[in-house]
Amino acid sequence: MGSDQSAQKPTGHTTDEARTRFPHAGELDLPAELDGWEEMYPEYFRFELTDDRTEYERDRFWFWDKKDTTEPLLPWDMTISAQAWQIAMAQNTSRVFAIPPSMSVDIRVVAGYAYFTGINVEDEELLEERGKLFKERSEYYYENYDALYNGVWLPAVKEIGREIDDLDVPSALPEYVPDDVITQGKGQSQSTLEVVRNYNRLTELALEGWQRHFEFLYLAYLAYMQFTELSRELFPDISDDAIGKMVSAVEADVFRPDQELNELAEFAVELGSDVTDVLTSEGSPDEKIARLRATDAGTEFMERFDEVKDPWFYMTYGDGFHSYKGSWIEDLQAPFDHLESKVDRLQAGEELGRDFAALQAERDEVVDEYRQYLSPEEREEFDAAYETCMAVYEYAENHQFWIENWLHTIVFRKMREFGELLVNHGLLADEEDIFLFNRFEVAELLEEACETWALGKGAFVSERWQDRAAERRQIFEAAKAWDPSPALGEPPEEVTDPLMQMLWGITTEKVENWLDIESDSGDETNLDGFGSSSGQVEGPARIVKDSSDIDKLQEGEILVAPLTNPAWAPVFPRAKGAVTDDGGITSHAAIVCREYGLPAVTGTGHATSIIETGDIVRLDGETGEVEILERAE
Amino acid sequence: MTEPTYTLHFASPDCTKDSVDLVGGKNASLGELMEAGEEVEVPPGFAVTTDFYEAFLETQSLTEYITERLSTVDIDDDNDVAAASEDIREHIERAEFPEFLSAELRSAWEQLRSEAGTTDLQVAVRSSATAEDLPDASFAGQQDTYLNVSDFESVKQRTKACMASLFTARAITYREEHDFEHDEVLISVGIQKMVDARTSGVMFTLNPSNGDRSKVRIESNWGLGEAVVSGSVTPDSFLVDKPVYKIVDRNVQKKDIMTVPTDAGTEEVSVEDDKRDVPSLTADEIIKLTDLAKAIEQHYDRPQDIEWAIEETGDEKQFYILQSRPETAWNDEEERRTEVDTSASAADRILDQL
Repeated sequence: MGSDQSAQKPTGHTTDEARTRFPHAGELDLPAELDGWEEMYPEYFRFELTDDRTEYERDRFWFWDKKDTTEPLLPWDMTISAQAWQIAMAQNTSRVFAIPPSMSVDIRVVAGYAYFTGINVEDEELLEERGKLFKERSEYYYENYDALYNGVWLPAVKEIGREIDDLDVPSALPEYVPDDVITQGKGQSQSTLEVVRNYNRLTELALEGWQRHFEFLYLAYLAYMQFTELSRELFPDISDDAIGKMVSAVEADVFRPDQELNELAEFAVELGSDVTDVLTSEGSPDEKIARLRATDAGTEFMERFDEVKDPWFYMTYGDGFHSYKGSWIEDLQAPFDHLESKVDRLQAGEELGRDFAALQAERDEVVDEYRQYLSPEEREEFDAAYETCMAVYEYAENHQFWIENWLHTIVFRKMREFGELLVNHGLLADEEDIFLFNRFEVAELLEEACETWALGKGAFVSERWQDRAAERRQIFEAAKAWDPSPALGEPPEEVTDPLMQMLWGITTEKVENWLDIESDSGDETNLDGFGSSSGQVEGPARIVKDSSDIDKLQEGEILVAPLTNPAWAPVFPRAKGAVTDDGGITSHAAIVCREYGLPAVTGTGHATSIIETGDIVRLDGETGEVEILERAE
Repeated sequence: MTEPTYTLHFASPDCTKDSVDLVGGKNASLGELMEAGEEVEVPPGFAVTTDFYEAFLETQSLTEYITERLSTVDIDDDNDVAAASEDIREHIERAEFPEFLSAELRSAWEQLRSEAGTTDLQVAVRSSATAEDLPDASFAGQQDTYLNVSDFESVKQRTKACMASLFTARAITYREEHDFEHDEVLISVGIQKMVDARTSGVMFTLNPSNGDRSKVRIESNWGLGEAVVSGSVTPDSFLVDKPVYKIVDRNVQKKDIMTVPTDAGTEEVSVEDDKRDVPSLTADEIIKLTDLAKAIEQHYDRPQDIEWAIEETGDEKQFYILQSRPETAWNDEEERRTEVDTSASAADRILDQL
């Protein structure tokens, strides 16, 4: 990853009005409501902190990681994102697998939004040294993928989640320490030590989970890349979409929640009206559960429901990075909404979900046909590349379920227990406020809780944390409303990094386009992105900037979103097509659309700011073109 | 001995590449094309077989006449051979088909007319030699073609003329020199509907510019295909990715000239102004042609160079395959192969690409 940093001067735009670079962080004109945001995040991530850092930073190209920070991150959430990434993501390419040209990624934060810059290797000797190491290490991983993933990775991640779940967090410290402190000579307060220890353990485990997150990630994308590049070599002019078809219909865990809902809906229909009547009626999830448990059929249904909910309903409402969005398991509204519409569709005689076997058969047919056009030697190489890709590529989707959704749900849930403790000790007003403080501040908060507890009954508790939480809440709301610059600093002459293109959809044209937008007031009606999932469709647009709006999507509308989200899969059958701001052809957005056969153009850059709900748009999932045909009234 | 077959429809399962002895090479290849798939159709037509030819010569005592006439020829004397050739051809062309053959031919002709569904059916009458793949095919008769034949009398006459072409001076000389018996070399005639094409062209079942077999390159122009085949116009061209039917490249040209049928054959005329810059194929037609190309390539199990035409009357649209030959430019497998390294690991490929 990373851009080509050899570019010394910006190119392309020669007219005086056109911008040749993006603003530097220090030149950004942030609204006054954002004053004080810097205090919320760890110092490392602050731009232009000291002269030496400013000089280093201004020499580079920083792009907004819109893929992960579409919305700003709360201070604590930063612990398992930018903070985890800075070590886990960077070391994976620099010191673990030594991906030759991609040294690492450096990260900064502006008002909760992350900016990345790629650090590349150009020194020939170093490239060679890294090449040797990379070959050795990546080969080991490719050859042993199954043993490493199913045998080590998955159990390890599940163990991390289990250990976090098991961390004991009292809702309040006891009035007096228990007797065994005396009878067993335990020293003094085990409770305070345990609070400190368990919080530290939680952050350790969260960071460890994020090390696991990146373990196979780049290898998976590189496996995909070696297959796509070989395909392009063997079949010149092959489209991205055709390559996408060959790697589609992957049985990834990220699609399981939707599948499980399908099966539950089918089970409900099988069980009859005792169950379906409840599922399709008005009422909160809790009311429905109570009514279901009152009948035999309903009880049977709920047994099945309880069996699958862990892990499959550990789906976050957002992209997993935002504690405040919650998760299905904590708020069963989404699964019950989905069950309702799925039961409706079944009762209307419709099929649910994707016909997986048919998708796989179609994929295999396409692959076989391409193979048939090759010589025996070419076929042998193609097969080897395809096999590696298909073996490892599922990871690109699986990890998203296990880390961003399942593990994050557990981490945030445990954090709320610490939040409750802080509320009960008067340091915070609301358990959710714990996320307004960063990882080190929370350690201080917990220590202060222990300190004031130690001071004894009726001790003075400062309100300053509550005041700070209130201030930060306002700053954070202002940050959500702020529109960050797509990039900062000097644009590269050419974006050459394949990972940057594949994952973030950042290409030379995209960067030029951003510069144009920056200097253009224009009334745009055409957008270009990646033709990520084939099909041409036309229809009214529905802008969904936030997961909470996904239910507004109507039958036949075209979903326009910063990114698509796997948690939205259950409503995909309603959409006619999808347009996203971000994401290359291997992004989750693209994969999810292909898996659901939804025509899609990804990585348009700014569809959500140019298209409005109700506009009639046409998209071409092959050419990557989006056109606004008619503006909404 | 099996019953003789005097005429044979191209669509008949008996008209295939294995029936060269009966229908000649050209007719056999048209019959074989029909085997390539349900969708693959050649313009309707039938073969007047070698059985027909033999019976015709036998019943009208032409065999005897020919043997006798040739027995006196001095093969080294060109004038003598020419005179014999002229006599024999005149005899054949003047002879009447016996009633049973004439009836058979009429019945095949009527069937073709009803199949074509038009009262003014125009056909091409062509000779179809049984040994055209030999080094010098001329010994087996010239490739005579008569266009725009529309009534039964003319069909009969042109059929005889094609048969007579087996006795050109050159053919006689060749056979004498190479010790072929004249009565062992036979000829068949093909009678086939002429296509009044809206659009026609050629297609290669690979990308001719790099040998990539996953593509079909289609070239097209308005009207008949001659202008495309001869290269007198720059045709529209389309490159289609076969497995996913995606048009990955298209070049719509300014098309000034097109070939149209005339009473005498064909001629090149100017394309109407409003059609010059318009693609001569729709996307659906390109997809359909790709399907046909794939079926034909699969049938012959090697890359093909195919001539095709689309006839459109009212709402009816008919795709015809006129001819398919092995593609020759990229037949040297080695030449077009990408450098592959079968021992390369995924890591090697990644390192190559980074």
